[in-house]
Amino acid sequence: MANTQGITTNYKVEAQNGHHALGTCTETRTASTKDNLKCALYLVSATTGPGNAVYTVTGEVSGSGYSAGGVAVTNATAPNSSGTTAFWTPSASISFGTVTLATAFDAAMIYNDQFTTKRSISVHTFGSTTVTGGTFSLTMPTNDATTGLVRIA
Amino acid sequence: MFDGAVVLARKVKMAIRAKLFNWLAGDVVWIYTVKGMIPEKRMVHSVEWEQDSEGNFRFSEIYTLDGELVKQSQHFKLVKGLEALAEVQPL
Repeated sequence: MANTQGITTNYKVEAQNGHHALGTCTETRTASTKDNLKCALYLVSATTGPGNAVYTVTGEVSGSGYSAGGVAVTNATAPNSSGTTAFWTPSASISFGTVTLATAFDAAMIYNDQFTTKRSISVHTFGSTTVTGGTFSLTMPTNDATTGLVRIA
Repeated sequence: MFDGAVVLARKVKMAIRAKLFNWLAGDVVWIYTVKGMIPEKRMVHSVEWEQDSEGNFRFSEIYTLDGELVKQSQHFKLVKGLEALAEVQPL
């Protein structure tokens, strides 16, 4: 049995759980509980993407029923792994109820709302859309190593 | 004679209330729209399914009133999330 090199699967999971600090962590945690997450929506004309380190109001949608910063993300399922891939998915659909968003939007940012600095986690795109006095919802993919919303392979 | 008239008036009032309640709660489905609450039967309701360029499924629910869009909901089913590749540099 030969040795193999690779980033350990456990690290991929525990990095998401905040177990490691290879650099200086500028946030002071007073509890070991998970952080609060939120989801914001972005206009088609915006340039929001993986390069955004923190939540930004630049390019965020606005309209009746929508509050800047978006809505809370339900996170009842901790990061997990299968094989050598770690994965995490919100445990419920992300829903914006009774909103009017007349300008086309096509992206959602999930970010950490626990601290003053709202650090980004991921940006997801979908087909350009508008909403008129209705509901906008994002139903999550199956939470596994193949389709989970955030995967580290 | 006067008491009888009062009782009759009360009965009529209660009957009207019951009719109104049944009309509101039983027969008519009210939908919230940008034009306020509108009976569903007055509007044209349509739904659409499509798969967007990202592979996600979009379900649109649209209500129009006299040809005007008064309510539109959009629901996306994300098929697949994002993957980051963790790599180590061989020594």
